[in-house]
Amino acid sequence: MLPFKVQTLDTKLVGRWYERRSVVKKIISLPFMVTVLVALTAGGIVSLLADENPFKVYSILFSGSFGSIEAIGYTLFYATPFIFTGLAVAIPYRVGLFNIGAEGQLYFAAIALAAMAFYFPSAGIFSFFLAIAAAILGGALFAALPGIFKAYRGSHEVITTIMLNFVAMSLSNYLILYAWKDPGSQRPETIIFSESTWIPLLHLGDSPLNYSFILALISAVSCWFFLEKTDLGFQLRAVGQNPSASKVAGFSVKKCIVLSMMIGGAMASGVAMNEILGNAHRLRDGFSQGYGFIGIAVAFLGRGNPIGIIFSAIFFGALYRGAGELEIETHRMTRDFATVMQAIFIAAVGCEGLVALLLNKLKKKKGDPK
Amino acid sequence: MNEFHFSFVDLLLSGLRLSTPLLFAALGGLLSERAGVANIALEGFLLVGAFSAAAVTYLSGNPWIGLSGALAAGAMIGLIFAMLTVYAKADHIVMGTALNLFVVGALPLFNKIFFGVTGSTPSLELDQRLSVWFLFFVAVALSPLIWFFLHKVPFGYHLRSSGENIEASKSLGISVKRTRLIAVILAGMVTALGGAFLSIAHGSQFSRGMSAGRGFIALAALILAGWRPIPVILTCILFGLADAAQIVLQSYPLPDGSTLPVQWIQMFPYIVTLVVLVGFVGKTEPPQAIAKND
Repeated sequence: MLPFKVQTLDTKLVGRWYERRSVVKKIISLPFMVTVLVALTAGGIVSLLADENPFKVYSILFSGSFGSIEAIGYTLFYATPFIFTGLAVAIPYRVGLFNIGAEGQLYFAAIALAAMAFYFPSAGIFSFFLAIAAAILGGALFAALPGIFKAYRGSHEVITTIMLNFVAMSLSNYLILYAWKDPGSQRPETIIFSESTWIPLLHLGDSPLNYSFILALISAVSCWFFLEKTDLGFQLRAVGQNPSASKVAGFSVKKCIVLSMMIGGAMASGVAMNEILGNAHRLRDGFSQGYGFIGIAVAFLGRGNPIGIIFSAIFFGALYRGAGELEIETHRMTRDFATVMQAIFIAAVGCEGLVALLLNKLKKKKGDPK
Repeated sequence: MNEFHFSFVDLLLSGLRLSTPLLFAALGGLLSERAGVANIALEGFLLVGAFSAAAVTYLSGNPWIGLSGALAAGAMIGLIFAMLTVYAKADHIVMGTALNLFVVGALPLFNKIFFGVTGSTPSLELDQRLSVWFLFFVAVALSPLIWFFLHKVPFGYHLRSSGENIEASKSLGISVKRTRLIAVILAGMVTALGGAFLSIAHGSQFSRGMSAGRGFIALAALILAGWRPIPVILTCILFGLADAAQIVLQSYPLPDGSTLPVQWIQMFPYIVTLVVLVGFVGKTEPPQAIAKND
């Protein structure tokens, strides 16, 4: 038995399909296209300011991220943590919570994962599952804290998650430098973990893309299914939209708050799997380059929809990978350009409502009805 | 056993110094949030202030011109943030994130264009820097000034009412948009002073990520103070002291001659905040119309 009730499919499938189609239409609409164009132009102006040809910059960005099998592998590898953190932000957001703590949650998941891999290295396949379970549990429990603080004490989740971020990062820094330090390495990192805990590669060129990416896809689809097709998911959404009405309907607001944070934390733990078990095979200091914070942007660009998040994460991954090529192939564009582009895209999509409004006004001026 | 000089006065002074950028940022956040614009872009505002102060001071040789540069740049970034949130009606939190990302990426690019490197601006001479205490007193004096502004000046009423109830403000003939625009520009200027403190008073150059999360800590101090300008002095000093204590404790010898691991001490101020917030403060009441768009 599943722990939640699955809604039965009704006969209105055709109607649903039509609705879905209109969602696709909404995304690939005129305002969206204009928005993308505006963002690309703004990025072009930034590259002109840096004295580089914007067309060259964009073509390097594109060929660097999608130009070969290996480039695609890297793009998807970089997209993997973004899918996880995008979900970590999006699920609590449905309940009206703003989880800035994905960074702390993924660090805490990494600590739990590394502890298992460090202390139980020789249990074969068992140590692999132990590490994964520890990561998920670590992330979920660490995220439960701000949820409980919010539900039972009313403490603002933005503040508590920021505080917990610092706590988790300091803790991992301590463990890496003192308790689990690799004595043979000059860098702040632990020893290499037993090969039985490694997640196998997908072998796309020489890229480090591994099965964590598949796990990320499965997670996104499961999140979508959970939110849209189960009773509990419906409760979560209802609480987010109208807490007082949900209370009247008999839903436990407190339960939904804590649960959504725990799911978010469990999602954040995927970053730890990708980076530690899939790529470095050891816990490195600073292994997350702000993935938790970029997750906010990814979730927003994906409109909070788990499936949309997959695509927005791939877009961010492509920018990230392309920027690396940019650093090599141009004189003045550095990795920072990708950060600027991310910001411009988020701002542009955030202002899409304004673009739609302006387009409407333009239409009216032309005497076009509506 | 290594020598360890501990002076309570030194600790106190260092704590007060370190509270300065927090106080500027928290006051900036207060102006913006009391007007109803949720502001997690304080971190970006601080960095813009730090960069422009250091760059203008280096190019002009005069820290006062540098400080004016920081004010101008702060007003600019405030204007941009207000355009995006108030006029384009975008989500405040999302725009704050976008602005922070933009600043983090754009400043090294500008730095490269102006000074040839991405990491930091050239360092300043001692006589090109401002007094730390001067800026501290400016920050402390600003708090009652802002209280007076909010409670005794007509525009202050407009500002607070825009943050509490959009419909009621409009029915009184207040332009919520214009009020918020001015509030956020002021917020940018005040917060930029905190950035200038970091780069031309406390430090001698701008370097990447030099705000080190202070914008977020300031936000915590602001919430802890219940969005009120006088209590915010105390909460900022509390965080400043915690920061200073952390630096002192790092060289505090244990009985066996070793020192406490830095990381445990670094966690200290955050755990204290959590305990205070969750244990004693509980629910905080933000301005009613915060993050809502007209």
